Amino acid sequence: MKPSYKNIETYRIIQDKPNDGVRVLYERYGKKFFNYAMKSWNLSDDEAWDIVYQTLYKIMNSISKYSFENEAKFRSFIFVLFCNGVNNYYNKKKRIRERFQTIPFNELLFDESGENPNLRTERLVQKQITEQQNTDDEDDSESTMTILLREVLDEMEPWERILLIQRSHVTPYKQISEYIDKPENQLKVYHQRLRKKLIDLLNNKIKANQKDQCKTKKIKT
Amino acid sequence: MQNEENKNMNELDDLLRKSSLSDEKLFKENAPLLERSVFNEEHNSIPFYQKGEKIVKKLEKEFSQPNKDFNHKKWWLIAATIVILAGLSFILSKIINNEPVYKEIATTTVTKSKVTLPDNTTVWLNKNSKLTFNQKFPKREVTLIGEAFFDVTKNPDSPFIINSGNAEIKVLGTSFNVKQTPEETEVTVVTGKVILAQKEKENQKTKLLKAGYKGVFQEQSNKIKSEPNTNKNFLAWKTNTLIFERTPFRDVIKAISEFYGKEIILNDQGVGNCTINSTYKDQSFEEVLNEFKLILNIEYNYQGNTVIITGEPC
Repeated sequence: MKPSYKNIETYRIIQDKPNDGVRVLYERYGKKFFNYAMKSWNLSDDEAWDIVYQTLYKIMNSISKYSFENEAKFRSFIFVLFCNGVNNYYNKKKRIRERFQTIPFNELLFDESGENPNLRTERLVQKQITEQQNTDDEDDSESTMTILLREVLDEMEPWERILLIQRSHVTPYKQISEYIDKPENQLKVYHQRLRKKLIDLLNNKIKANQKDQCKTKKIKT
Repeated sequence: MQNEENKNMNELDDLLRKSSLSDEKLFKENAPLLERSVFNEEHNSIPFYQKGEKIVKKLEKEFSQPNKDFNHKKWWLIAATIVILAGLSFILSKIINNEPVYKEIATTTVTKSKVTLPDNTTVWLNKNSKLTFNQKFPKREVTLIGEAFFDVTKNPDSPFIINSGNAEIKVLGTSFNVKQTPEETEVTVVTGKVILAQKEKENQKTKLLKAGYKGVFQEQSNKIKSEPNTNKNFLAWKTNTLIFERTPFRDVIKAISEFYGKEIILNDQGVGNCTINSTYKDQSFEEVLNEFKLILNIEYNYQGNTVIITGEPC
């Protein structure tokens, strides 16, 4: 029979025997983290394992600096590290996209089109620059979108925000219903309506934002 | 139409999810319920189990050392005190007898050091290296095993001498890298001029190296070669930066293998000819490998401590 540890015991095991602690952490939390990351956040298995590794590493590395009064505090600590790991992962993914600009020299070398090599080089470099600019544009619009989304969410009722966000994490309606104190059988409809409401509000914000930008441009010119 | 709507909804959910993790207010509002969901997650039929086992083994290896440290902290403290006391009494006896006291600065497989010598010369010591010198520093002279970068302060009256294997490196004021192995000593000059010579004074062979050049002294034959330095990454260990400009992947692998001290096998079926054009600064080994995955069509996996890379030609 597998040993069963309480969370606070896990903490003690990590403190006293880090080697055993890794296995206990993995069995108790790592697998849950992995399944949650794949199921609720649509990550690939490689991505999910990367996050599990980072999270367990951070727990092992930083745990000696903390002490926990009870089981709940220890669980919250681990949970926050896990969420930070996912957030860092998203940010890092964006940074990698920004940092790389690889010119495909192999394309230059293995040219079978008979095109003038100098013109071909120029065309490929130009293509790279355009692609990079397009990526930059996407990144800009993504950050603007995030800001506008937060503004719209701020205008909503707390329970509406929670329902939208929890459903984006695929949290079951039953659990959400207990948390926001609304009848479970109505939540599906509320959620549908709220998504439409959110999209409408977001579109209005985007339009208003574009108008503001045009005004600024006109003033500049 | 329906597909388009679903796509929009998925994008909206994606945006909501990311915002809930990056925005403090949204996170606080949702954390208790999310926490409950994560810890209620079932994991009876976990797929890709092997990868999880690899993670555990890697972490166990990583954290096996602190285990000993933690349990035997007190004993380490006592042992360290004894060693320090013994060292002090040894130094005192040397001073009383007026014998030269040698100071030794050594790095381990994971540490690097920066040392300022009594004449204000700065030495950056790479991993697995050792620098020895007379503590009173009557002459500007040191002995090096391993690799170090020297920024020597100018003093026309007193040359700075580095003993490295059977080679001797003599300078007045300059900066350069010395890499010593049992087979050879390699000196790469960044600024100024350096004399690379055989230590044996009879029929002594010497070579004057200018900035941008590197000289290699071969221990067995006592021969000295010099040529322009073409390796952009000779100081990567100090700057933590690897630069590749149209570098064949095969050579990139050699450079990262040396830089990270990892054994890498490239199952080269053509991918070695692909070129990399990128700079890596302060990145971990895993991060660099994952970025290669993004640039080239490669996969990697671990066999023990060895990384096996396979890939398709570009």
